[in-house]
Amino acid sequence: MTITLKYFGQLAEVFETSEETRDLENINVTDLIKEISSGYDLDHIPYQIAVNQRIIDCNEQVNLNDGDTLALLPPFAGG
Amino acid sequence: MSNYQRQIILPEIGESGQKKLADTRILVVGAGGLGCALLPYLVGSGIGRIGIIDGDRVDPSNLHRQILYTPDSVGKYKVDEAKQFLLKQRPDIVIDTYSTYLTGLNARKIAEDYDVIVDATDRISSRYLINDTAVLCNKPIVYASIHRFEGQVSVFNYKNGPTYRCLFPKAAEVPNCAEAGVLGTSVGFIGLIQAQEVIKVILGIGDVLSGKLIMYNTLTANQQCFEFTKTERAEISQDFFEKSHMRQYVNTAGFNNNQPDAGTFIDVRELDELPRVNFNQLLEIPLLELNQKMNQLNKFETYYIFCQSGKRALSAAQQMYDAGFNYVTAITDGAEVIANHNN
Repeated sequence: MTITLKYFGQLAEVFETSEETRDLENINVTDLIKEISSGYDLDHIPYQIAVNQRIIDCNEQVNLNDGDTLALLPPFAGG
Repeated sequence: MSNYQRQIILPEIGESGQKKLADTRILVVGAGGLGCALLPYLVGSGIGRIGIIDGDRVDPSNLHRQILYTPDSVGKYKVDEAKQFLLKQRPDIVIDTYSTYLTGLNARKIAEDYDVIVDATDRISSRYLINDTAVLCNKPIVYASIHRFEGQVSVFNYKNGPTYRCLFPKAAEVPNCAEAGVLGTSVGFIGLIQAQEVIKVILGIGDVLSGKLIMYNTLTANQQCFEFTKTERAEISQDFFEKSHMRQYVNTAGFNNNQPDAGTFIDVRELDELPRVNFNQLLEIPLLELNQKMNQLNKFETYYIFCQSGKRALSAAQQMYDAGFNYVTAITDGAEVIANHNN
């Protein structure tokens, strides 16, 4: 299945892109996050996850379907 | 003819909407890039009373984006300069200024006098403080923030809707404009989206961004809306507020020999107090002069503050923390102990 990933703010800078697609076998959100973040140090960047534009609870187990979009949203500080 | 005739003829506003604006008091927290963008438009709309709180003074690095200030404003309190500008724009408006930072100690007392709170700050900890204050005072918050060319806008605690803690439950500082950089047009643009939300909240028109986070990229003109819901975990009580915002914030530590290599010392004693202490990186700023000289210090540098007993150091470190300095430690040892270690 194909999943679109969108990155914002500092995360777009860390991943050096604001959007990518990945072809994956059946996967849930937790495992996908593990996969995309391996090799990156994201410890200092808090973020929320949205599936198809809806922000999910961090304890929620969400399975992904073909065509889903996952967005990683960090808080911004500047004003 | 009324100054507001062009907006009164909008069916969504009318005479009754204009009266609502005139009867509304809003508090703008932060007179930086967002504040400078939204304030003239909110003043222009006919809002009756506006409070502005910010303890910062104008710095030359602000002028490219904080359009209420001129080179003559440098070194003066932002709130005073903003007030002067806005009163010229609309002499009949009431503007309250607070040349201090919002803290756990003053937030509720100040916020209670207003109907809507506008979060135009530049620090995550202030955003949680504004959120928790607004929840306890039962006021809606219109929120915006910037990271480089991207902006976020949302409305919290609107008609008992979700709050900032529902959106971002985990607290951690992230870079602000001074650290990450920002373009004036980007912050101005996001500030105007924020101003529009303030008007919508006051008038109850359109779809208020409650439970919705707008992400806008000013380089691609791409806008996306994300939905979020109220979470039970984010319940805010008086007790929670006190624990989160009224405890001692600042780091304290005894003197150790690693500190002289790691940062700059500030001696906040009077210049005639003995023994004097020598460090390569040492500033001597008596506590009473600290507030005035703070704009010469760098918010992202590491500072160790000391005095004769540790008491003034704590007070100085707290002042600096409240002013946005993130890396300040109050040394609990007095100058005598430090001098013995050091000499």
